[in-house]
Amino acid sequence: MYIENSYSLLHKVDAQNPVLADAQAVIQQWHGKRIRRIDRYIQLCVAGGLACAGERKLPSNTGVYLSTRCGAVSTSSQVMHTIESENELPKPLHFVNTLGNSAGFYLTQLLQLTGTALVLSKETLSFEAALLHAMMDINSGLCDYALVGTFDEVALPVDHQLQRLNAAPNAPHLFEGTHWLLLSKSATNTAIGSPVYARSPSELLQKIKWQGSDVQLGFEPCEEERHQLEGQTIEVFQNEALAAGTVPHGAFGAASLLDAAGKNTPLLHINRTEPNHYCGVAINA
Amino acid sequence: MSVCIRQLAAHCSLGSDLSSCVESLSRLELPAPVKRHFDCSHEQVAIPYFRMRNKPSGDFYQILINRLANLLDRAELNADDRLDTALLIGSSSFDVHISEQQYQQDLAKLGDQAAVSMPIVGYGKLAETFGESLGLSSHRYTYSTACTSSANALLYAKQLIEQGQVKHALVLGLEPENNTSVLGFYGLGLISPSEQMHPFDDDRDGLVLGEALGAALLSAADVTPAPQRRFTLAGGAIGTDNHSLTAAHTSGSEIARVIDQALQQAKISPADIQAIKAHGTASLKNDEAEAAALNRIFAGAIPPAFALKPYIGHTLGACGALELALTLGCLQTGYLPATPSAKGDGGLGVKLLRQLKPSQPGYYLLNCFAFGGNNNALIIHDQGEKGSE
Amino acid sequence: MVSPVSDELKLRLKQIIIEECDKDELTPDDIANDEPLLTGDLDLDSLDVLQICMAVKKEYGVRIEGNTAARRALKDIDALAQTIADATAE
Repeated sequence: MYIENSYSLLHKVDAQNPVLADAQAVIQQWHGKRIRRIDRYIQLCVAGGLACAGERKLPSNTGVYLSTRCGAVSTSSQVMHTIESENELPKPLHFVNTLGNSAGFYLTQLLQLTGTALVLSKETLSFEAALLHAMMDINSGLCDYALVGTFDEVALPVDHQLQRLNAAPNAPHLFEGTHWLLLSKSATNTAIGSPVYARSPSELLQKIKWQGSDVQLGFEPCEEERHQLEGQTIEVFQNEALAAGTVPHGAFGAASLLDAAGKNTPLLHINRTEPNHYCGVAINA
Repeated sequence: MSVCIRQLAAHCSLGSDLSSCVESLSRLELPAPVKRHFDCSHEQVAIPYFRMRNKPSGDFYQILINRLANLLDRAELNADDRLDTALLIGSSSFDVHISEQQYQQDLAKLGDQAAVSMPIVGYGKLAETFGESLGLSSHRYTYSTACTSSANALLYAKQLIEQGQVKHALVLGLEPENNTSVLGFYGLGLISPSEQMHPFDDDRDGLVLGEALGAALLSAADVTPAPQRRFTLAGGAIGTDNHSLTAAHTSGSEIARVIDQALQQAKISPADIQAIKAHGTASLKNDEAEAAALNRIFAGAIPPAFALKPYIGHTLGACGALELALTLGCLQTGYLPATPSAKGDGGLGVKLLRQLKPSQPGYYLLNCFAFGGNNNALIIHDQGEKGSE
Repeated sequence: MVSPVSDELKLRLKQIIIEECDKDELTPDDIANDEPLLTGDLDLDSLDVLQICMAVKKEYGVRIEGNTAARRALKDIDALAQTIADATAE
């Protein structure tokens, strides 16, 4: 498979002075006007999807594979607060925005896509899961193109979000973002392999039959993981930010994968989810 | 390669296992929904709800793990087989009820400022926990497409097996009772004031929600023992109808398209369909859209159709897997379920079965549609009792 | 008997519509009292109707239930204000 186009918006939010990513500005750039009634979670979806599709007129049966680790946390928590704390009925619009297909509805309507659309989740491997589903559908001949995206938001207040993520209460920054690729069978500059799972980094190298020498990780490895990858040049995506305690968002692995894909050299992207499940995607191999 | 549906489980308002659910359906007894009372600031509301019959008490997560373990045991999957088994969960609510309970406790203990609303996040947590506990493969996926969640999970269980990623796939559809779904649907004005669901009838006035669990184990035919090869998932499709966020296109064109694709995928024609399990939510526009689609596809000669929601309510993300389990359970017993109260007077051209009807081997269409325009159609092939021997 | 309707009520209803329907680009001055809410330029849909009805219930304790009642009450600002004035005068 090949990457036709990609788009990645990785935004670092200062925990003390939180400024969130301006997704409406990205939407405005591609759609020309503001879309009413959509919350930030949906904005992140629509912004990323529109930017990745770009000027292309995609075939109407293009598959849309959306993924998220945590979903519409801001609006969902607002709904729960309305019900449990204020003893009120949730606002219809808030409730509708928490439903699984709402984000995809706006995106597919704008892009005039009517084929398969999914919303998937697999903890920190949500993007890789969506990628595998997209590849299965292209392989089976269901569609020629697939728009694969993942997005996770920072919900305010920050201290509540840190508790939800079981993160350190004094974390200085949090990531949020929207990360996309447009996948097709027709050869482009960037080839991408099917996601492969393993229970250890060494098993992953064997299963993929990795011949290259460069590995990019979407997580901070422990000593044992580094040891198993001996012989490989290891780059940890956003190493400095992670070392400084920045809390990765659910879609962080996708940001790493897309960064790797932009490098135009053979690279193995590895991402991890607890407890010790690894997923590898070979790029340009 | 054909993909067999070899084990099933169900728990809903009809009963706590598939055989008791099927037996209830055969008696044509409509369970009465309970009333859920909410003391909201501006009004007192009482909302009908189909609660699980014989709902177990105890740890929610462990109960589910035990249910799934039981299903794997019945199929006699050993440890190696389990490592070659995907887990696919479809739900609209996941464990939001646990999140609600934790938030209620924190509100009482910590107050409104400090208590974290929606404290549990991560749709994929259940699949990872269950997959780890059951010793399953790393193929653990969670589908969150509202009411089509577990129907979509079934379709990708088939894909994963056909494309050689795994030999087996365990699909769980889940909708636990929670305040968010009940009050959210009530706020949208979708709950039936008459507290009864009358799909496709003139007097249909909305839906009643229900809590449920439905599960299915699918395996490649070559690793399925002959007695368990009776049912195969012959085809299916997903389509997107982005006409309106809150209702299906009443022309039926989008639903007809997804049914047509499912028929093509199964390599059959409309005339091959023995019967239809309708989605039938008894809401004005969605029933109109489904009926219009069925009239388009079957050109006025609609095969026998039945709807299960009058018995179990709309179980949202669980309905795909649950209604599959109930349908196949009825076929195993040799009949098609019926709704005696159905009038078929809705001018929609869909008359649901009013009496049990003996079932025949052949193909069955299972419809499932979701809020936000995600539509799913599945085709099941029943080889009949002899075919499984 | 028709209850008297204040200009303040009509202004507040316009603010509610702008807020509940996320019509940020509008100000209350942009909405005429007799401008059709559902079929005119405002182009409100069924979800907007639900939002407005819930906000009206919360602020004025007036229930507007069912499609027919909602369509009648939301004909324009004049009709909505009259519905609330009549209900609260009872």
